[in-house]
Amino acid sequence: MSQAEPFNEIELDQWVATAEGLRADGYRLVQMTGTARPDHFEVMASFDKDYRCANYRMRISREHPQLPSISGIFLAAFTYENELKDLFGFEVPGLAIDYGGNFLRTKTKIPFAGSVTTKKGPTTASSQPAANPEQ
Amino acid sequence: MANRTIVPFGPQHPVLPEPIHLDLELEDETVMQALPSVGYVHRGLELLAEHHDYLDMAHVAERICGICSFIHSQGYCQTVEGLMGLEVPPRAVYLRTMWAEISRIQSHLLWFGLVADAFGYESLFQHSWRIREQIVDIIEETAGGRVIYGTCKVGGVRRDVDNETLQRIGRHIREIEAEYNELADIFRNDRTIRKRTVGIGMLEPENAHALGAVGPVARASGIAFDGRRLGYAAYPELDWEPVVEQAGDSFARCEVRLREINQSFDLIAQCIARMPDGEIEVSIKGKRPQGEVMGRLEQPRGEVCYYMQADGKKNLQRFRVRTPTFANIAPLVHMLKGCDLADVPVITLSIDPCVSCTER
Repeated sequence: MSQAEPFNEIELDQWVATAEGLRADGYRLVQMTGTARPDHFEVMASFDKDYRCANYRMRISREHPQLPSISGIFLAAFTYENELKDLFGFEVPGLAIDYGGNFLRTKTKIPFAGSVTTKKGPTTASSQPAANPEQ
Repeated sequence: MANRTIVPFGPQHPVLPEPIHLDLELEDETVMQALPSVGYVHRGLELLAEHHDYLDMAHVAERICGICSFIHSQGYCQTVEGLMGLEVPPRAVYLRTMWAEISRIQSHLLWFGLVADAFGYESLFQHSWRIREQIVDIIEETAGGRVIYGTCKVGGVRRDVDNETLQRIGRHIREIEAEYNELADIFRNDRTIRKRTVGIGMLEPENAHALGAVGPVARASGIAFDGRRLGYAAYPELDWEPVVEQAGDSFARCEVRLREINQSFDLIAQCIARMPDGEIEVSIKGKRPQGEVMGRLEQPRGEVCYYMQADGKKNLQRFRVRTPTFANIAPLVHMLKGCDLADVPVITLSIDPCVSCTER
């Protein structure tokens, strides 16, 4: 069911503290999603408790794409964080199990570092989705 | 001093119908660490949503996986309907619920066949799939296809099933269930199956929660989360409770699926008995999805999430599917730690891995 569950915008430096608070409240990590925007990356994470999702979204800079790991708080995060690392090229300091860029076998390294998931903004030849069907 | 070696498991392996790879770090024959990797057959279906009409994408969503096909299309359509604020007619809601439960039965029976084959029980594998075949025949009779249903569309369903056929199916599923119960007894009581699953691949409740386990994997570890309790489709109007086991081993995961098949037979019977009359779809003329939403459903393998963003144009801005198998990779890594090499195939199968979903 598509419930009316809000998406809360938070700053990146609030991310770990937010996760700690959710863990203390008994939430479960549901998912983490990355999206490439024209001028930044976006990470959206969802946590469930009693069949309600709390969604949080934060911006990651394109110049220094770094996402502090919450795998020390929610161990389940390590798969999502490795996925974000392999697809978007994030640095993830504190990652509990780091596959070193080898979790997802992609023909193109860091395929979503371009603007492949956005419709607007500048695109480069290397970021055209049609040029790389493996994406 | 113990001998440390790394043994590759997969991507091609007799117990794996689809490619997933595990690097098993062994000390003698004990697994010290399992490092999974995926991506062998990734198709990029999420990206397609940004380039194709949102109505057409219902067909693509159904093809994310051949086993979870219907529930993928149901999840996609429900989530889009959430963005559009559409209310689907009650008959369509009940038909969707019935097909979803038929899908759950065929998926679990497929798994029982695969796990029997992994035990070396060829005849049990064939009996599991013989019963599954009768379920697939019902899918064909009601939907037209045997793998891809093609019945779900944004705004309702594409195909109705007349009440006479529904009543006949209602009687037939009870006959199938009687056959299934004999099969279930073998899985429950066979000495070899018990020896290879009881106490094997342990996942304690606290770890199941911390590692984000979903579906039968979580419910076999005492976590009473079933996505059907989220309130979608006809589930709030039907009488049922999540199937929960406490042991947290491979046998408990098997037992959850065994009981869920009986539960699905019962839910189908309830759907048929309470099937409302009326329209099967609503008009979506002049409407387009707008906004942002996270939709969740319960697939046979567990909770699936659909994240969508739309701006009122014909294509979605962002479409993301978090599949249950992806969520169960972290619990699998935990289960494999400390197990015998010989138990790796059965433990891996015990999460019912669906790589096709994961490689959406």
